[in-house]
Amino acid sequence: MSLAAADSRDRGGRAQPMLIARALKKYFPVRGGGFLTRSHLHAVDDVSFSLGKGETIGIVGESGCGKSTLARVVLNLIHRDAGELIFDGEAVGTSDGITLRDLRKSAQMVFQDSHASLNPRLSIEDTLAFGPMAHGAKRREAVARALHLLNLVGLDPRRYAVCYPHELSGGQRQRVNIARALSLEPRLVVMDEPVSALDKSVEAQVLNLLIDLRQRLSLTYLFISHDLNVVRFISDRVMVMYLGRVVEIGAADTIFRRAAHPYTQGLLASRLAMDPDKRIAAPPLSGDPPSPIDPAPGCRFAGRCPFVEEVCRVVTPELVRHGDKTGGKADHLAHSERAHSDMTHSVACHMADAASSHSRAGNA
Amino acid sequence: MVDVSLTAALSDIGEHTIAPSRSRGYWATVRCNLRRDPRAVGGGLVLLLLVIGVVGAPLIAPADPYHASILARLKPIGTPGHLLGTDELGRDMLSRLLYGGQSTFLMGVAPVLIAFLIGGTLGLVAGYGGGAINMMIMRAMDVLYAFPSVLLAVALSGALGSGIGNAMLALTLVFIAPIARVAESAATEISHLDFVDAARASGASAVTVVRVHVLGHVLGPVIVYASSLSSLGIVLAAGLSFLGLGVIPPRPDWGLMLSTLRQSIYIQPMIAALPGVLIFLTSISLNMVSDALRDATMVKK
Repeated sequence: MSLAAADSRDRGGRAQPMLIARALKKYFPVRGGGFLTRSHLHAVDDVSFSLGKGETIGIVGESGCGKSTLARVVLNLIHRDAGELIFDGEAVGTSDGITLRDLRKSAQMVFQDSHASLNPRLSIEDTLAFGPMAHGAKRREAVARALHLLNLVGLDPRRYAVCYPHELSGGQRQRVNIARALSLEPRLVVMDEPVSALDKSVEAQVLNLLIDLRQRLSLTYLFISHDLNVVRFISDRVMVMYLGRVVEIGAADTIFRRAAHPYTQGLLASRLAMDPDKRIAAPPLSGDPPSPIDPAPGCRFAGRCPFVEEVCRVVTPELVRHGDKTGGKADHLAHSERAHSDMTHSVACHMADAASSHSRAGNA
Repeated sequence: MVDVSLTAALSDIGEHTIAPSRSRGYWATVRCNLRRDPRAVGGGLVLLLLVIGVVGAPLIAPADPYHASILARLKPIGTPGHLLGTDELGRDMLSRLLYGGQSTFLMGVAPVLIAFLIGGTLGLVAGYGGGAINMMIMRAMDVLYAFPSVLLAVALSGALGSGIGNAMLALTLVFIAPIARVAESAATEISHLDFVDAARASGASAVTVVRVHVLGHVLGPVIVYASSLSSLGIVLAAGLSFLGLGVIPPRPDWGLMLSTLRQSIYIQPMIAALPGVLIFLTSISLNMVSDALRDATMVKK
């Protein structure tokens, strides 16, 4: 992990995490349920993490587990229902904290769909100039900057600046999207499946570009993907989400070598093995995730878990530090006081919590 | 000679391959498509002629449209001095048709333009704002929608009294709701795309985001719809005058002329049909242009 060099834009000091999320919640009201009652889709449910400066956290999980909602909540594109966001020591969304305008300048997003995320009516230079112009830059400066940004992401400005999005390939469009995200010199970039829609050869180019840019511009990434190999390649830490909740978080190596949660283990086993003899016939994860609308109490994974016991269906497991036999809760509120390189491996599973009544507790 | 043409050809090729191709923007493409469409060219030409005739009526009209003559009543088409004959009071038909187009065009097109501005803005705000704002605006539009448009126009101008101003007000109110609905659905669709989220994420104000990223996409379908409404507007305006709710006699107006010449239909059917023919021509040309516009704006990218 690259420690961010001293940065003039740094307000909270080097050890202050770039972003602290505490108990974020976003429930979407949905139709259904009974007469005059509303059901809620629990898209993001009690998610906490801290993201150090220059660090990259990879967020993995199946489709519909709330990854994209979390990304939009972090950028305040969707208002959270509960919880706290602290950007470089300043609270987001409170009167004494960072203004929305400053947050928007410092935190940007790259979207999955490179086509839908570019305005088909604007040329590439106009798209790239929009952000700086919205922040008061003159058109000429903004366009000059756009050309520079195109260079930065490896596109020839003389050739592509006047093009329209439909004239570019998917990989080129995604480079433009990355350039747009960088146009305001952000410090945090949230990547919502930036390479999922690209073919493999282009995916590698874009990933290398992202790693190169992270180094050169001392960026912090929140990297969302369902592709475990991609996440392992780019992330310092990995956070596994299931139905809106964090089930496991820890250093990338730890998660990939010693995954403790049965869901993470299943996800890892579901990758195609490079050795054909090691390939498995039975899917490690069967069935579909249960509905995120008003989920039942207990562990969300209980319905698909091979080790399910009575306690799993009754008590919702909380994130606890893995390997901690005393069963102490992983204290999120203490995250901000800790060093930013918090590599604690935490798991939300009764098997990892010695205090639970699960028969395998403590043996995992 | 051969050498010269060869170098010219080569330099021509060279220019094409080396010079960066600046592609056309959206509206330039639309304009190009329109120029190639026979409906747009034909309909546009007919409309242009009609507008020139109507606007230039004081210069072109051969006679005073108010000058009546008991002796020259209902002369057939082609009568010397009266190219298109005379009406039931002996007034020159050509002059009356030219002048009469003024009020018909004004009553048919101006309400669509005003409704385009008001309804388009309401729809844009509702579509981009979403949620409660959308709910409030669109439910209010639904109230206007609950009445059949012709009935609403007739009822409103009936209640307000006859006159061009009141008829225009009634027609404007009739057109606001459908235009708002078209603008709202287009704006809602666009506002959910990622590039609008990206624009919001850049910290630009809502007005800037709408102006740069949403407006252009909404304008196309709304202009197409409004142009098709203007042909309905001409017909409705003529209809209101026909019913005596629009233009007050003796001022000429196509709808009113159709109404007063009705009684002469057995004596001079050709004369009685003339205002109707012009209403039909205007309406069908507007429809052709609006169809061409619809196809031209559907640029698949």
